[in-house]
Amino acid sequence: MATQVSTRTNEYGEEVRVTVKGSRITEELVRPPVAPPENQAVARIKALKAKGAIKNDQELYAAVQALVDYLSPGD
Amino acid sequence: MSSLSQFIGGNLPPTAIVNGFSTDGYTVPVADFVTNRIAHGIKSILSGALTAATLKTLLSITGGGVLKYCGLAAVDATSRTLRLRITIDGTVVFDSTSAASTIANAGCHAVGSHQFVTATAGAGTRDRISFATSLLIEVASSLSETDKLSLGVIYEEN
Repeated sequence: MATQVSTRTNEYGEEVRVTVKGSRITEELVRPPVAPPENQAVARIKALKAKGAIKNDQELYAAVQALVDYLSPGD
Repeated sequence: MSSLSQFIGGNLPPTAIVNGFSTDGYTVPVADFVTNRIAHGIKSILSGALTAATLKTLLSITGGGVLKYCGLAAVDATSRTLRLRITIDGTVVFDSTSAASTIANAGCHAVGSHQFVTATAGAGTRDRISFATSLLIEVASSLSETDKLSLGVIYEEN
């Protein structure tokens, strides 16, 4: 049975993927994938640096350590 | 009306899902179950743009299948309420709104569960909730915001 995939735009102007296979219709909102934790950590550090919240190596170390603790509690 | 599944032990589509998150005003647990979802095969769908207190469809299936996991979480610590509504075969089986929460990466489980251990390790249980003709999953936040809610799902299509 052939599968047909198309897209439509929802009321927010976002892409919705429409998959039709026989009588089945699946509609799913398409959003960028969630970044893996390590990428989230880098993004947080970059955000802190952009704000001027990290001014030296000691503060950078503290920020990284806090992120490690957040991402791996109990380690 | 009888159905074949009554006699062969199959799962009938539910008319209600009742658990610790199914009553309005539940407290969001202090637990992270979003950041390692992907490592455990849970499909994440971000909310996109939301209008405050307005339900938005994230997943709609016309046809039969099985919902094995469904949970909703906020991705940051901004204070908001989270609403998750699941409609199976035209019947609303789960519809609840949390108390205001400021806990990032936490929310509710409607079907199955998932527990955060570390960023790459976790544990979870999966359920099997059948739908015969349709599945609709909608979410809402108390805030107007974009991509701040994350829906997690695992489902099968018949």
